[in-house]
Amino acid sequence: MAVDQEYFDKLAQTVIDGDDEECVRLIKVGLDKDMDPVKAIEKGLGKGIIKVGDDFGEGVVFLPELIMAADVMKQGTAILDEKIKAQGLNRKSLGKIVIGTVKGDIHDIGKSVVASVLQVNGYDVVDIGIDVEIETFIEAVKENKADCLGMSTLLTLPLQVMGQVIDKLKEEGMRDNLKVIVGGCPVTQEFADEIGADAVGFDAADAVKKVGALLGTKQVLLKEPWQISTREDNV
Amino acid sequence: MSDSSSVKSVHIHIEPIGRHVTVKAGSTLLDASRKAGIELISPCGGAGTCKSCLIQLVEGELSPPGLTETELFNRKEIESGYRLACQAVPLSNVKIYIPQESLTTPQRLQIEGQEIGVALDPIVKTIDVLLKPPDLNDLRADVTRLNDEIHKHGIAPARIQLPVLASLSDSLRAQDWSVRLALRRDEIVAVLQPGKSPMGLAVDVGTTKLAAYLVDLSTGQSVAKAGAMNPQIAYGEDVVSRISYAVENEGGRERLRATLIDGIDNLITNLCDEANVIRNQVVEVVAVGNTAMHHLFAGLPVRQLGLAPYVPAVSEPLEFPAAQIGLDLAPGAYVHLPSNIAGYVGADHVAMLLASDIHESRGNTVAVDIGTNTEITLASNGQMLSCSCASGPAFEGAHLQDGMRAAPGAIERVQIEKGEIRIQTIAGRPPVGICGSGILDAISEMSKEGVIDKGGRFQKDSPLVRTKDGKEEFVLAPSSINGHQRDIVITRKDVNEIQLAKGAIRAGINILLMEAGIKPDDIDEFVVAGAFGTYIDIESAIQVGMFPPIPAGRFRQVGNAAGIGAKQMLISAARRKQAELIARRVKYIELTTHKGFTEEFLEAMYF
Repeated sequence: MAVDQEYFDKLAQTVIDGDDEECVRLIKVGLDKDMDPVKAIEKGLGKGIIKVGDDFGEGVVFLPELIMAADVMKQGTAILDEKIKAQGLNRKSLGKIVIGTVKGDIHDIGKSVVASVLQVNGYDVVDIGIDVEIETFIEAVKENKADCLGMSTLLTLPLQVMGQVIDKLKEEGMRDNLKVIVGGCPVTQEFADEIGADAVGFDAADAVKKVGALLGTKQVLLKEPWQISTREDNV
Repeated sequence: MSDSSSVKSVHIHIEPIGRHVTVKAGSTLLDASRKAGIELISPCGGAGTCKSCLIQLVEGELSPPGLTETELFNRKEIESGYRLACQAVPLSNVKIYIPQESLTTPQRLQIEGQEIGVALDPIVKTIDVLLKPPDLNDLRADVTRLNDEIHKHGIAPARIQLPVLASLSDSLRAQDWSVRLALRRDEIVAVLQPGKSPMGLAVDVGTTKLAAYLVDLSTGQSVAKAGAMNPQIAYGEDVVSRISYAVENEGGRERLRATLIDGIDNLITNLCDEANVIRNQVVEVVAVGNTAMHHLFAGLPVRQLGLAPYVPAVSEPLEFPAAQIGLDLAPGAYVHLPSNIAGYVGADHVAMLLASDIHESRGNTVAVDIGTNTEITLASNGQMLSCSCASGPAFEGAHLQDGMRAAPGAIERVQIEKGEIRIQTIAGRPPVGICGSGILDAISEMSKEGVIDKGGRFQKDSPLVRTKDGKEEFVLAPSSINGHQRDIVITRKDVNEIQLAKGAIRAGINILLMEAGIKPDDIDEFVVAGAFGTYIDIESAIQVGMFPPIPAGRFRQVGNAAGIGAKQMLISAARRKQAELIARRVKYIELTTHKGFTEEFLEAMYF
């Protein structure tokens, strides 16, 4: 099999189909033929995940497909990233995002889906889990030098924690250099405005679009999700 | 929020039916209800003179009450949001509550259940005594006289509380010293007329519905039963929003308690009328409900139930005088609240397990009670595992484009054969919307007929799929045959809602099976309880993947088993003890943090 357009289309399709075995197999075939790993991400996996993300946004596919696609994407990029590193290159992240479910809530799935989808769209995502204390959010943002903070809850009572985290960020003088996006079943635009969040992600696809807009990566994200730079650039 | 003059159309949310409708600005609520296919009683023809189409405003803004309404309602009623549907015009999006009496056909409420024989052994027993009246040579006090007499029956001196004492002396004299004493262990809880039976009240306090039974404690027989919507619904549709209301509004918790007690009080009036019983005869109450309802009923704090790790204030059985929570019964009547298992597995589930006797089953038994929260228990090899899954309100018709609760006109059965759709509605009325059993059937048939694929995607080449505004949908009942001149459809979003609901339930079942180390086929009996569970078609539930594919003969639909369990605890002290033991034996599994849950959940969302 030649590494051509047809090959990349097939690779994209493995993401759409959620077929991890076929994805890994195709990547190995490609790498054996000295395929450029960057191109495999750009023209193959990336195209696939964008299609799934768009379909999800439009209600064509649903959660299981989205999560499985993200999972295949992760497995594929892990192999390709290794190759990119071996070539002395580095993939530049579109931004660093800390994400977690706020204190008082232990619902994991919604937040994890958003984390996965952001990650496969080229962001560096630090998922700090569930039932996260205010202080833990602050520390994670500091420690990771995050560009964006995502907070989630499925319940109504823990909503207030989101406001408290934002207040604390202001207190610590960290708010100005940080974008904050909130999400979860009870979160409305009105509520987000009230507590001073920058945006609401109404679903995973929406979260990716809003984060893109907040970090100014929207165009890059939708057209060419993967920016590659040499190691020298990063130093 | 919105300038009323610029509003062209408004959205009306109608409770307790759970219907949504959008109408032109300027329409009355009566018009809006009609458009939604809900008939209100309006004998005066909308002139605003008869008070029949009474509704209550829950949220939003209505036109100010006119002269006709200010004459009909007192200030308190106006302040509580009571209005006439024929007069009130929404000025914004509104949520309204229609009381039972304003509806032409009552909602279907399920209060039946399969009963199993229980030996009569009530906690309240009676003895008939005839006292010698006092005279100048016998100056013993009334209570002393009573105790001396019951001592002859081998009963030690009884305790008697102030409220009972307050009426004792008059009762003794009015009844010519012949009385029937209702004794709860060693306490006199009521002084009845001879020949009058002591009555018990069993209540199933659901988030949406209330079911109550009046039981003759001397025979163990139900003498009347009644159902109603839980009036707390005006303060939030589900447990989570009620908890928020209670926590975030001053006096919210107390308001929720008072509203619930009011609702139960109405039921008691109806039950007593029907059975020709006076309230003073009701000496004992057993109430079951989910943990949040239990707490709100008893006036306990609920904040900790709304925040992880969701612990109850109390899990042990509770007993307190009925008067303490505002129930007006026999002066010494008690309320018994059985144990709960966890923050989201309540005494209603314990009662259901008790009624189903699954703790005694030898093989592997699964018991599910489907609601907004679905509780599942697996009894296997002497151990019992329980979990609760957030199945959401889709099966109550909420969050669906044309969803509604099980009320007249709801599509409850669907069959598709060779491209032809057949529907059956509740009470045979023209279709108004789809209720839980209907949507389950519909999705099952759509999947069987290839209208949707494994992932819930509409198949564009299916003749039953049409595209509207760029989105595919399935027309279940065209406007030509239904009750409001608008097609009743199922959208992709509706399919997603069902995927989430049935996925959560199946994942819960699978996790319990996994924890017990058994396979679906090892299930010997599968008990399905609750209103929705009674009306669903088991084959549809298997077809969509909500239940595991085991032979139909292993399923048992038991109706309102929680209510039956409550009744059993009313008439049998032994059953009460058993319920306590069941609750203690059950091991609760938290699904949200279970490592296998996400994978099972995602897998179970497929058809």
